[in-house]
Parts: sequence; structure tokens; C-alpha cells
Amino acid sequence: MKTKIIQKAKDLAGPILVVAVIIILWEFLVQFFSVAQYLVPTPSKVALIFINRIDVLMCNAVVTLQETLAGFCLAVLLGVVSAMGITYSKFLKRSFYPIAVAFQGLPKTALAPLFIVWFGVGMLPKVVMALIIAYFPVMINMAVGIGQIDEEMLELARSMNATEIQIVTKIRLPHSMPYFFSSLKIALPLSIVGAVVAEFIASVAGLGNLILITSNLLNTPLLFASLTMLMITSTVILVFIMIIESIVLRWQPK
Amino acid sequence: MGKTLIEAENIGKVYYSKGGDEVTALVDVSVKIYPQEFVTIVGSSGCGKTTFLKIIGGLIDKTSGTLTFKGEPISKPNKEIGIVFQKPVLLPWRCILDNVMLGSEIHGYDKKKYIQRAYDLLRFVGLEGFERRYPRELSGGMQQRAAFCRALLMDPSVLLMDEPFGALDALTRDSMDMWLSDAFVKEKKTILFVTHSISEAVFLADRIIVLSPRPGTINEIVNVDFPQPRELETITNPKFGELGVRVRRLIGKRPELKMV
Repeated sequence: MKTKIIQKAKDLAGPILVVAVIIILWEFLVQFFSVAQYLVPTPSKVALIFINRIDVLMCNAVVTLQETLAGFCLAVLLGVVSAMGITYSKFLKRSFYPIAVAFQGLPKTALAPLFIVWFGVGMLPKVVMALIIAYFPVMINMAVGIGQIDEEMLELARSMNATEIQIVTKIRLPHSMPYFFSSLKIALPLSIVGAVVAEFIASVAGLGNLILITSNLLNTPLLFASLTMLMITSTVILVFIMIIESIVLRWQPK
Repeated sequence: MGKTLIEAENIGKVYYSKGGDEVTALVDVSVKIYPQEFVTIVGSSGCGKTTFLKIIGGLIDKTSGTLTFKGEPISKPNKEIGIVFQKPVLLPWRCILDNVMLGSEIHGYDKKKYIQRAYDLLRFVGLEGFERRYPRELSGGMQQRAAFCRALLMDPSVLLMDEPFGALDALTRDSMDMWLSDAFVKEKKTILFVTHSISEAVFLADRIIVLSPRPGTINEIVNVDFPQPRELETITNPKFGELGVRVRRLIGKRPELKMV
């Protein structure tokens, strides 16, 4: 047990050291060359602003978080449902799947201005953007996870007279879990991209909105603080997903 | 011998490929299987051994003939007939115990009723202490024994085994054969066992069904009357070698052309 903790500490020591060196170097170089605050603020200044303006940052982070999570959850739901559809319907597999794959070639962020026209400047266009950008990785991964099962496993289920629903719950869904979690890890950062880009186009709140305003005002320290907040938000959700993943997939070799 | 347990009469199977080609896998296979008998099925690759087994298991439809189990026609899988596949096919996300319990879950039976049996079966096959391990943590032989427990959970009267030890190394296979012979006597099951190893077929069987090359039909049924369970010494019996040679000759034989 003790050796495990020491090992963990050793694993963490490397990255922490690298980050610390970068921050110290950054602080030192900015001060040494007297770089203007509006170009590159010192890390200490960013930290100070982050603490002083935490209320503004939090307010806006909550908005972006809501947009992201709403779009992300809908994307996951739709992705799983359509993967199931593709698995069970030859018609859907032949008609819907190729269209979806072709549509995947379109850079989704290019649709953001259109969504503003359609859905206004509120949360809705951001949710739609987050949804549409996160949908494809979930759908495509789940189509493999649910659909591509070893024939032997299906035969095993048939040999026990399993119903189609039992095949889904006892074989297809558990089999898809590794695919599910890797799709979540790809989709989550993408839905944040979707929400923030939509906020750039037109918005009244959110971290994307804050970044745009602070950039217009050349308030670079607060801009950096906003970026930091965005990173923290995204990392917290990702870590949360990874914790659940490690519990659900404990049967997998490390 | 007593009553017939499984009766196959003139079983035929034709596969139709996408292009419309026909491949005849089995022709006129007729055999009676009696309770608590160990029957092995041998034949060259592609002769329809597995097809025949899967037809009995209700996994594949036959094209012609009649097939009954305890007098009832077989059309779908029956929980009185357990199947052990070529590969263990354990679900990797379930621990060994939950893999063994799969059948009771699917049939919707009370878990408590079968969990003790699952533990007993695992102890019986020497997997005590591995109940909570995942399949990947077990060797191939151990996985196949777990699959054997899964097939036995619902206490079927018949076990169909499709080259269950084919993927194992020769040493493990020998010990699994002896273990199975022992288990066969203790569990009092009827076993149909497909293999392409002649020595395995002779070692385990009360009767050996020898199939011809494709299209498969029964060349001969060979009786083996060594006492069960088989011991290592069985192999040294001169009759063991003689039977092996005889089966070997029969496998290559093509059925004589029927003159109409």
C-alpha cells in the first residue's frame, strides 16, 4: 500500500515539476523583458485576477457548463439510440449511416452562425452546437460497440434462448462500454468547443462571451483567467468521466 | 441401454450461399442416443460434425429428416441440452461466477436457487477461489472448465461439446480428457462430443460416430467397451490402438455410391 502511494507520488512529480518550471520561467521572462500586460500577463497577475474576479468567472463558467452538458448528454443519448437503430435496422444502416458519415466531413463549427440565425442568441444555439459536434464520435463508436459482437457470443445467448432484449442488456450494452467511455472522452472536449464557438458568434454570457469581451477590451489578464477557468471546467468533467470509467471497466486489463 | 434419449432420422442439411450455390453438409444421418452415454463424433474437417451438433442443440435448422429429444421434436435450444463451444466464450466483463450464472439469469430463475450450485460446480472443476476473477485472469483450460460449469448450471441431461479442448496444448488436453471422463461418470450426463482427434474420440467414448468426408454421413458407429471413467492406463491397452486404426481407416472411406 505504502509503495503504491510512493509510486503515485513519483508518477505525479514529473508533470508537476515541468509545469512549475514553465510557470517560473514565464513569470521571469515576462518581467525581465518588461512585456506589456495586454500582450502576455505574468502568471502571478493571472492568478490574482482569477481570485479577485472568481464571481464573474464562476457565473460565466456555469452558463457554458450548462450549455455543454445539455448538448453533450443529448448527443450521448441520440448517439446510443441511433447506434442501436443502425444495429437492428438494415434500412437505417443503408440509408442513415452513410449520410451521417458524409455529414461528418462538414466542419460543424461552420454551422454556428446559421444556428444563431435559427435559434437566437440565448443558450439554445450553443446547446445545439455542442450536441451536433459531440454526436458523431458517440454514434460511430457505439455502432461498433453495440453492433460488432463476436458471432460466438450471440450464439451462446441463443443457445440459452435469450430474448432480443436480453441480448441487448446482457451482451451488446456491456460489450459496448469500452467504446462508450472512449467516445465520451472524445465527445466532451468537442462539446465544449461547440458551446464556446457558438458563444463567440453571439451571446450574452458564458466563458466564450467573456473571452471575446476581454479580448476586445485588451483585458488580457482576465482573458487568461477565463481560459484557465475553461480548462479547469473541462478537466473536472473529464476526470469525473474517467473515474466512472475505471469503476465500470475494472474487468479490463490496465 | 433403455429408452432412446435423442433420435435422429435421415437428417440432412444444405447450406445456400448468397450466390445461390448449394453446399450439402449432411446426408441421411440417423442415430439413436441413449441416456448416460458418451458418444464422440469424428470426421475430417468440414464433414459437418459441428453442423450436426448444432442441429441437435437447436441452433441450426435441419433441411430434412426428423429429430426428437425425449420424443419431442427439437426446433429451438432447450435448457435440458447444454452446449460447450469450441472456445470458452466467457463474457469478459463478468467474473467467473457471473459467467456461470448467465443461464439462470436469462431463464429468469431465482438467483439464490442457483448460486450454491454455481459454487459447487466451480469447486467440482477445481476453480474454487476463482469465482470473483475475470476470465482474462484464467488459463485456456480453466476458462473451458468455467464454460463447462456454465453449461451444467441448469442441470441439463445432455451436454453437447464441440471440440472443447481443440485450442488447448496437448498436455492440457490430455488432462482435460481424463478430467472430463471422471466428470461424466460423476455427473451422470449424456455427452455428445465432437473432435477431430482420434485418440481423444476413442479415449472418451462409449460409441464413436464416424462421419465421412463432406457431405457427411455416418460411415460406421464403433463401440468402445473399456470401463468408464477412463484411466491413463486405457491408452496402453492394445485394443485402444486397434480401435484408433480402425476409426482412422473409416474416416477416409467415402460412402459407396447408391445405385438407383
